[in-house]
Amino acid sequence: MLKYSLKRIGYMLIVCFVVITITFFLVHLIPGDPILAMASEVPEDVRVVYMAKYGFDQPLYIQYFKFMGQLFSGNLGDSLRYPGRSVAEIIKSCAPISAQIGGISLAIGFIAGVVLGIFAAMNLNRWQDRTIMILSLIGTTLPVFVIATLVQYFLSVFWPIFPTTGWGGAEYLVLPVICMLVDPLATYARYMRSSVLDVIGQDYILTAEAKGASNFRIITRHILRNAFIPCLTMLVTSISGIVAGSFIIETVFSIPGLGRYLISAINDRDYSMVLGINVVITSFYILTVLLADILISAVDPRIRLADNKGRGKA
Amino acid sequence: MRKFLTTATALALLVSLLAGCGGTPANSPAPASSPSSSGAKAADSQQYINAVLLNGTNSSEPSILDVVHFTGILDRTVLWNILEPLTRIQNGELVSAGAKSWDISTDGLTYTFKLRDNSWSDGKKVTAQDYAYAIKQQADPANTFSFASDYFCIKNFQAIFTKKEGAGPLGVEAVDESTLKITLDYPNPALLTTVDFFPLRQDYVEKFGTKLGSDADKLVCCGPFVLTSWVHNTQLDFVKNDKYWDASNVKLQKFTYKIITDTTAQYASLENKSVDFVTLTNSEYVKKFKANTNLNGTFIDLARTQMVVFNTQDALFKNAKVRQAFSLAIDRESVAESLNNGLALPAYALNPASSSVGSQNFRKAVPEPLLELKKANSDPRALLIEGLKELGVNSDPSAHTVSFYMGGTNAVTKTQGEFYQQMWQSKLGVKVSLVFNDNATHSSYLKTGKYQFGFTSWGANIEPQFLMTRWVGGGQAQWKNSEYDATVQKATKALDAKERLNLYAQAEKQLVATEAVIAPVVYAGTMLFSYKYVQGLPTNSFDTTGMKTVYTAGR
Amino acid sequence: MAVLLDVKNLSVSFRTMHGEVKAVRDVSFELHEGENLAIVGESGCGKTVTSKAILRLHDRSGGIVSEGSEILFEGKNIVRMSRKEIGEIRGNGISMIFQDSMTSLNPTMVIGKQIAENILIHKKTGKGESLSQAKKLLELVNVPDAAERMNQYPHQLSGGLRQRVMIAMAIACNPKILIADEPTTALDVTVQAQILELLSDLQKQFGMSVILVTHDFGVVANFADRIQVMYAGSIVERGKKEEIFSDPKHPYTWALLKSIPGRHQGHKGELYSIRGTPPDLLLPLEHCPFSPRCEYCMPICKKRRPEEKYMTETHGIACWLTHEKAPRVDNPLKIGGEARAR
Repeated sequence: MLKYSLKRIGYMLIVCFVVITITFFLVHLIPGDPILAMASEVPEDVRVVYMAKYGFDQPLYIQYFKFMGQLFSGNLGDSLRYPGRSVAEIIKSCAPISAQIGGISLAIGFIAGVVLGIFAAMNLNRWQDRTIMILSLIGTTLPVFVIATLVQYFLSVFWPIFPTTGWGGAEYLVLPVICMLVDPLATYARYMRSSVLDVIGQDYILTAEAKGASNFRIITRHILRNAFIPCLTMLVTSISGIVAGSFIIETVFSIPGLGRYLISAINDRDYSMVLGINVVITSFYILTVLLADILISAVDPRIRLADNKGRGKA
Repeated sequence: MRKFLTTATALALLVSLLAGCGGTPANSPAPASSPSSSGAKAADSQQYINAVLLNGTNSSEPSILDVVHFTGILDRTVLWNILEPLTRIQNGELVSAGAKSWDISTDGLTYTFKLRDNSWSDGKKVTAQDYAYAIKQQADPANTFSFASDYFCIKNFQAIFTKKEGAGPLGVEAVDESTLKITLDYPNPALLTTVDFFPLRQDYVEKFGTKLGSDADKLVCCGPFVLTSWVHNTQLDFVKNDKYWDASNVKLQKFTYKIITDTTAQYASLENKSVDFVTLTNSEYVKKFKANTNLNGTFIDLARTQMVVFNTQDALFKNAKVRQAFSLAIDRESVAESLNNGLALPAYALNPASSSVGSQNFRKAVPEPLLELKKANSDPRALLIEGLKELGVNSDPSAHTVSFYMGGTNAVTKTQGEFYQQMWQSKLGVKVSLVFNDNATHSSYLKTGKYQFGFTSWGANIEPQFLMTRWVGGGQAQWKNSEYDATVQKATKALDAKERLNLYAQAEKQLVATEAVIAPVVYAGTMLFSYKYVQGLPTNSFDTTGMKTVYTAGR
Repeated sequence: MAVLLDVKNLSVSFRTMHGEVKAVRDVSFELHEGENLAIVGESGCGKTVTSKAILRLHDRSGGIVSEGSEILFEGKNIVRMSRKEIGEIRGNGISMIFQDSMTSLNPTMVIGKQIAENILIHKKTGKGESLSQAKKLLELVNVPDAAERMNQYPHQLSGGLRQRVMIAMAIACNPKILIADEPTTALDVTVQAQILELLSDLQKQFGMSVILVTHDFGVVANFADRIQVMYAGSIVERGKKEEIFSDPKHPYTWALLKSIPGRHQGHKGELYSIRGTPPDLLLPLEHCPFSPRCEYCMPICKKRRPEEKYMTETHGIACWLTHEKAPRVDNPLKIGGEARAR
């Protein structure tokens, strides 16, 4: 088990390395540069000095090695767009905010979605099921910015209950969370519903019925655990998306989160920021994938990578 | 209509200017309907304002609040509030600020400033050494000051900045604690209306290094307000600076700049009063807010010219007649009406209505050159055919396809592109294809000449110097014309206002009409909507007073 | 012998996109104490649907039991029972085991718990007690290393072991009737014999009655007391094992028996297969359902359904050949050694 985990970690590190390399070259290939993005009216003399200071006038591969060297010594560099602020400190202050919104939304969306999905499956084709499915369809297809704009308008302008924009106390969390939980809620409701239906059709549910188990027992002991597994897989991989934040929601509500920084960093050609954020997101993603593997093998005995101790044949 | 708090300083300015350079103070163009009704209501006891940190419709996070490392206009907007530059622009006119008076030598090379008594928020006096130190830091090439080129006229500034061998000492001297002398290499009559000379505390630079100005606790203020809190990407909070020399005239006790990048969120914030004023161009919301009786709507001239720029190295656009044809084919009135929702004025020249040479308004003295050209050529298509013949290519316009480059990838930009496309296709018969790129890419293409012809815009300073020098040496148009360059270079150094005006007029005619290197389209404007209780908002787009003059009455 | 289960006029149909599929049509039979009843037939003849209907396992999958159907067990009609009542009977009075033991066991629950569940539900004993009883059951069905197996998952066991587990689960509460739906079809031959032997032993030990649903005559020959042959949702012939094997009277039964590959058929002989296909169960089938494929089809067969006629007290045949006016047709098969179990 240990050897296997180490192998996986090693493999993932290679993936991380490849992703960062590709990102590096891609981002430098976009036409334009940080100073052009900031102030296009900068004359050549100033530009030359600026490029020299950050080493942008050097050939790309030299810049790459310098960057990787920095990275290995744990330095993510400084932001170009925000001088005086290091990438690490920006990420440290923004990531928790995105994570907070994303985490709460995902948690609520997941739990509520799963419950609704089970409810829909148990009332297959009746009005409860149809309503939940239609609402969930709307939820997944409605674009985030539409949801965000509507929520913002109705809950802060039309009924001025919550603040329009900003970040501070708990009241600033409400609107962004409402917007963000729509998608996971809708997704997990559908997913859980189809998973439950899938499980219901399985033979072992028939066996449980033939044993005289009550509906409650069938749901809780047989259906749930098996239907839950695919949803759990999905959940763990979508956790990695939390840190990246939602650019649209953070923009509409002026939340100082990581998503906003990432997109604006690309527009600003802030190479250090783009790469730094990428490193963080990729690493986080890799961790969650590993975690997913471990979790699933813990929950689903069929996938358990046990050694051959338990395998015996009659 | 003069505001009472500037009357005293304006008179003082008048006197010192008369003494110094023998010119009359500039007559500022009368501002458009002001949102304040002086003396109608008494000022509120609770004075606070919530505003959006805006440049046009763009709200974003300041890069850094340090006079040497800042990179954008939004940074300057914040700096006007927390630092005191030597001079400010108020109602479109130069007024004294950190300097209570100044002399300019007759050859225009020496500026001597007499400073006011002012203190930093930590109690120390603001001295000439602080102002001198700022400029020294700005000249240091290690600091890569983004606006260095505006300071190149200062003696040895350029040499130091570009690391030339054997550069002499910088032409900045703190004669004593309250006297600052700046020496120039060549005259620059536009200097004081182009740059803000901010002071900089050396001990703070030594203490915080590159982190100076990156957070509210890493800076010191000497302006009308002090920055108390900065939640990055969200908002900046300011309180009145009691140690400010003019504190008695600052009515606001505190205010907030909110960073709201999404325009719909900006409008929503105005609607529910979480901000007190906002500028916008969205036609739907302009209508909506005009109908709101609690809001005042004021048209603001942004002094920004939107134009089409031609790549003069291009096979087709290297011919002047071709360029003229495309320029004349633009229906400027329609663009102003449809694309800018009526918040723009047709532009038949480069320099907008608020441009001045000295005290003389430029446009009042100089007719827009394209108007004359338009009269002489009523058929752009015929002109185009002539140009094509001159080039020796197929003279049938429909045989040619040209690519129009635009900087933006959203729906608004696409609509604009199609408008222009349709205009040229119907008037000239050429085929026009559209190329959309994001802003940074677009700028890069224009700069390096990787385009055929494209859309761009430039914001003006009070003097025509800035706009006119964009094309010296080619600029985005890749235009090599030594005559133009010479005229403009001479104009930038001409101390005599009349001479300067004529030179700029000459250059503008060549640029816009004779050679039609650029085709100006509209002078852009915007609508400022503020609640009726908001008073004292600057309405001149050149003003650098920040929130100093703002207060509320009858909230 | 007392009648344990009395099925009267059972009809089950399913609503589908194409219409109502009448899978079981007016089937009636009895099950006596301590007897083994085999229901045989081709795939799709309705034998599984019949067996599942006894425990009302069609409720969730849209199976509709017709109004007049009655399934009497211990004096009550199963068809009319409430969910709670039928829940008490399932796994308790009547148990069922299924064909595919791999999919019929919960893959994420250890088998010990799955067996114990049965006990937990009906005997209301505690967790520990149920588990120890489950272990004893495992030993009873001859699962070696029972203690270790208790904590294993279904996928860790072989097919034969899993089937034993299913049996253990089914007999946990000492049911009066065990319904086995093709219990050996998924197993290889040697294991088949073991399982059948086990069932036989358990039956004697606990005095259970068994309904064995299968298409394999070989299994039937050794195991059953009585046999019912079903075709297109109806019983076409029924009788004691000896009666069916030595003196089958329905052409379908003849065809079935003839289809069994025999030892003495020789390597070059072609396997007999009944020509044609089973009828579409959407149709009302007012005629004899086997008529299109029957070698002895008469005009009346295509018009009216034959009523079941009893030759002896136990031997019933639903065929027009039994009518006094029908031509005499002899059993074409020589039963000798062909239909015997291997």
